[in-house]
Amino acid sequence: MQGVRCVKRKKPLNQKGFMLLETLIVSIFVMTIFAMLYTNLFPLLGEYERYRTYDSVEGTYIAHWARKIVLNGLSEGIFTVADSNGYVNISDCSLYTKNEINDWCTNFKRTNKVSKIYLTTYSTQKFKDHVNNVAYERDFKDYASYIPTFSRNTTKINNGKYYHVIVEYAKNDVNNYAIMEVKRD
Amino acid sequence: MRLNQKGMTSIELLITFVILSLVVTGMFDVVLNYKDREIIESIRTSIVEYDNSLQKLIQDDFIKGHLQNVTIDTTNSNLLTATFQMEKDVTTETPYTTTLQIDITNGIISYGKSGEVVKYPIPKFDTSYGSNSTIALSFDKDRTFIESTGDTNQFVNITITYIHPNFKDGELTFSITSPVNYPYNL
Repeated sequence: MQGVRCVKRKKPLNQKGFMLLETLIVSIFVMTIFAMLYTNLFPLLGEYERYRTYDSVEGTYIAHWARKIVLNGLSEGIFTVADSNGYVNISDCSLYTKNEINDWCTNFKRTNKVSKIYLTTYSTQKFKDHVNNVAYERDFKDYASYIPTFSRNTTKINNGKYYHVIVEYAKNDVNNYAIMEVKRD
Repeated sequence: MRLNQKGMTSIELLITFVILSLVVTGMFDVVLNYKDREIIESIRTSIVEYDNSLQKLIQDDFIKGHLQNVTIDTTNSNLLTATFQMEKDVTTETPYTTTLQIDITNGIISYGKSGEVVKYPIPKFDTSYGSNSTIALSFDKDRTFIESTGDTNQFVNITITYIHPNFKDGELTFSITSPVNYPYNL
């Protein structure tokens, strides 16, 4: 084999270029990817706008005053119902029978345009399940699915004195929400 | 093997350019739209920060000082004034009074204890963005008010609404509410 030059033939390049059909297929493929990206991004933006109405500073103070009237006005029986059910709807001011708080409740609801007040156990799991399974408005369901279950804090769950109060109030005809921890003495 | 050196015909090139220009135009509109939204969101963020700092400042006094009485003076519709009597200062444990003034004309909110009133002018924004738009934030006189609700077991409601050309009427609003003389010692 010595002395024999091994000549490698260079393979000619394909210089045909793209055909119209190929160009169209690639263009459609690229456009489909952009369309999919856009359609997936759009719900995320809506979600961000919805979160603006959750647990704002204003809402947190409203939840703070809700906590006050809950602690001062609700009877032992309501807390027992919350313990057994996992949640209780306390939007009706006639439930605040202790310490004549029902009038404070009426003015609180009117001033802040509060439409719903819920008392839940420290874990919100049963409340979330309830809202998910009953025909509530969409925004209430969205908020219920947004809040955490708090189920990992076993110290507070087992303590039995910790609850959560959830408030729905209207602002510019849009429902806003806030949650606050409640601790009974 | 013979090379195909035909290249693209003019009609093929034309179709490709049309498709490309459609994609670019579509993307340009999308990007432009989001740039506008980003500016609007930054304005909203500034207003929310301003609202939150005021909310915290006033609510801290109402909660820690225990709001006992409110006097509202709305004789001058361009200068809403409210005086709040608190039960006791957290440090000195003596009663004190704070005053809130909403200067509709000049866009300033003043709040503080007597003799320690601080002025909080509403946020200013760049007055020349976009083509020829002028951006200015001001109070919405019709939707800004201080009131107390209920004959007994009153609540005070301070509602402040702004006007800005990039936002719908009533969209930029916040309220500070608190019970008056709430029975804390229950």
